[in-house]
Amino acid sequence: MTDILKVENVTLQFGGVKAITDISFNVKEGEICAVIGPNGAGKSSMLNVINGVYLPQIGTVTYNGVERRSINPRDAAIAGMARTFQNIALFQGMTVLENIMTGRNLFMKSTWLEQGLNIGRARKEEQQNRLAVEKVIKFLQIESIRKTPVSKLPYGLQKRVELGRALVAEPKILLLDEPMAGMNLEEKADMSCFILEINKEQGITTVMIEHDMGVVMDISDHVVVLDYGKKIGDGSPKEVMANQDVIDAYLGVSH
Amino acid sequence: MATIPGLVLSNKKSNPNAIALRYKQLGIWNAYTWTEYAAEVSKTIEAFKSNSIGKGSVVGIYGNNVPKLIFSISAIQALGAIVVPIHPESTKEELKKIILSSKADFLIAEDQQQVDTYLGVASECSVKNVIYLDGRGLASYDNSNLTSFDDLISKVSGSNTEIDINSLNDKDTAFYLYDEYEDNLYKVSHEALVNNCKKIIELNTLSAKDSVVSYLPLSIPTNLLFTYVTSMASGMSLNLPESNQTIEKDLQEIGPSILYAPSFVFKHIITSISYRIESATQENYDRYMKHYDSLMKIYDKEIKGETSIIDTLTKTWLMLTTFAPAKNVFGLTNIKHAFVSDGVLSKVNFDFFHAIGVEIQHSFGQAVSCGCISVQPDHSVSSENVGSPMKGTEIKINNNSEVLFKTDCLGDSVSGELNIEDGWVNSGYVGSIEDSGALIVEGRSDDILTLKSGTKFSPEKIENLISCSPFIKSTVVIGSGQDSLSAIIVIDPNSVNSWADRKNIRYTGYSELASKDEVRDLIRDHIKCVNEAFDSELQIKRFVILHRTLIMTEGEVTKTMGILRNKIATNLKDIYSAVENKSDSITLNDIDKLTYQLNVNKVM
Repeated sequence: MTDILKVENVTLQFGGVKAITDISFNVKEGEICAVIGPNGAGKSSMLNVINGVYLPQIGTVTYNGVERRSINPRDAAIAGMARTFQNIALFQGMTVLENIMTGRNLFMKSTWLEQGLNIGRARKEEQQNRLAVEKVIKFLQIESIRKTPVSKLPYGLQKRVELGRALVAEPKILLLDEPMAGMNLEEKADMSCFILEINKEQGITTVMIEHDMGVVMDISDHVVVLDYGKKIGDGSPKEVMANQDVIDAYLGVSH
Repeated sequence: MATIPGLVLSNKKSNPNAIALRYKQLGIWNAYTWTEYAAEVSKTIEAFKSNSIGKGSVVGIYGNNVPKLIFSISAIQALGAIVVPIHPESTKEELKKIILSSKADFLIAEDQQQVDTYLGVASECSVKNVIYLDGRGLASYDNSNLTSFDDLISKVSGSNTEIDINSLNDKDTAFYLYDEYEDNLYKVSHEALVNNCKKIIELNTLSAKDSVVSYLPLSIPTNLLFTYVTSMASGMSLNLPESNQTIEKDLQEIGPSILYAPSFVFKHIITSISYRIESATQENYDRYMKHYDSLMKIYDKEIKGETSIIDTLTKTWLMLTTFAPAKNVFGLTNIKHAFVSDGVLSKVNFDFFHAIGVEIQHSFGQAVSCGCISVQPDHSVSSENVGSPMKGTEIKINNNSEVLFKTDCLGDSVSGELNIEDGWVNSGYVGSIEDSGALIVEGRSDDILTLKSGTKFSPEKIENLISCSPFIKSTVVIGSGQDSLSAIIVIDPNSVNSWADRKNIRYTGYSELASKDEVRDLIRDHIKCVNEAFDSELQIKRFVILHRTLIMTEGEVTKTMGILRNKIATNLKDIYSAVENKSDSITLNDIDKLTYQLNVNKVM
């Protein structure tokens, strides 16, 4: 399998603070790659480098065969990258349907004025895109909350809506930032099923940051471990579990 | 032509462009006319023929009500095969029992959940092929026995031959129906089922202009009769909701004129109103309560025929401001007939529905009697009886108070002999007959309890009265061989939650809520009220509030929320023995292998 994403020697600094130091890893097409590590290890920064929110000082990201140091987040989305956020970033006053619809924005050609007034092309486009949105709503089993404002939903469902918004963009690669944070067991099981199905049945490559080791070891094909901005492990879940550096980072050793 | 596929054809002929089936998919209502319906059925027939379903086959329809399964029913029957509807939430044991006793050789399964359940028992069954509708999650399954419905259909698309019903006979078996209480399978013929349905249509003057919503699986025999067969025999439209979670919204959008549901659904509507009101502002809460009281007072006068013009005006005002909107929320605005089976509504609930203009009609029947032997007429005001026998049906009570019946629409047992006494079928229920000729059903004869003093009684009557509180989901009365009665109470999570929020009671989850002293007092007050209706011997003296709800997949309740006592007595045996020993606290080893501490509370 070819590598869809190559991160090479990336270093990211905020002033004097090095968030990421010289990290390289590859993500194969069609795999679930988990990025794990303790708090402050640089995981979210890594995702932000991948989809162009942060500009690394050194290093390159090769996505789909194109090597670059920076990319505009909009261009990243056009190139087929979709993501969710650690702290839910939905429009709280809008309904589930409307929120997911925003994920189809790239497929709409009408201007903001047309969309705002719901006239001309905007109207037609909304109808055309509604089908894609409804398919995702069915897939995520959230039909019953279609018209519910997001602010009224429990946390676990909001996470699901956010995944829905990323999915309707028809991505090639999905970046998930802690998709299971704050969920109970049942919600985690549901979310794991969705991620696996997205990966296995729709063939979407997934890069996910996750803290729950059980989930990571169960569903990912490939695990990258970061600690203090450095990569300390890279391999299959089994290899990573046997890696002494990883064990030290998680269980703690005297420095 | 009184066969189901024959009815498809005659509907196509008489109402070619009328809506036959309406279903919601991807958020949008879609419809099939009878012409399109018949075309879908003939396409399905070709597909099934290519998969060697034919005369003599027995095919399980295993899933919720989705159009493809609905078309499959008449397609299978047109091929001379027999349909066995199976509940989508059936356990492995139940599925195995149904497959083995029906000798089913094909299954049409809705999705992965049903396929998985089947694969769990596949080695013990001789099903030749499983046809699945939704392949989601099944891509990695390596089983040559699984066939995709869409693949079968795509191979025959284009062929649009007329449904051939020449080889069908009215007396052929149409369905095998599973009776959960009896744990037995019954066969019913096209003729019996359709004729029984025509009696209901005639009695209530239903027509092709009506519409009915079917949101329970067709494996429930009464539901099959009142929704699917009714739509077939009258030509009215059958409406299918999008999913189990969207029923309330879908009902509201359809606004059907005919509603069928077991009693628990109507009780659920009452509970939903109650928890919405509990969580309303104090002002709205008080207003609703006031309006409710006035409405019920006017209804009492209506029954006695004593209403004045002021009452009529007040009622119009109450309906406009409060109850018409409430009716609309639950999709009850257009209801002309609301049929109830599987128990009667308590008087309070029955009267409330009648007061707001929802004509509840109790009915009684089982799989063996094609779903119905008696039904209340329109505008009946008695909440106790289940109506008079239908045409062609006779009912009598034997010396043991058991309900016996004769009907011209009778099924037969597949796996064993029918319980027949001198030409009369024993329904397995006890009851009595009113002077008016209407039947009163007290409960199942197996459930009759005998107190230490020798007094026999049916626990269902007491349970119904206790469960009429919106705060109580189910009740199990125990006391066989005891000198007094006790009850296991299952609280309703939604309404008790709202109530607790209103009272500022803090709790973390269901089991903590159930153990709260305030909840205990709430339940105790209700039981005290109910006790007033009974002699001292039949009063509930002690009760236990269960830390969980009764679980359908554990076989503790039927698919229509009926109590299955044997299983409950096994699963909760610690409660039974504590009640027997008159101890005040119970250490319960539950089915989840955890231990719970419960209290036995005294009513006095």
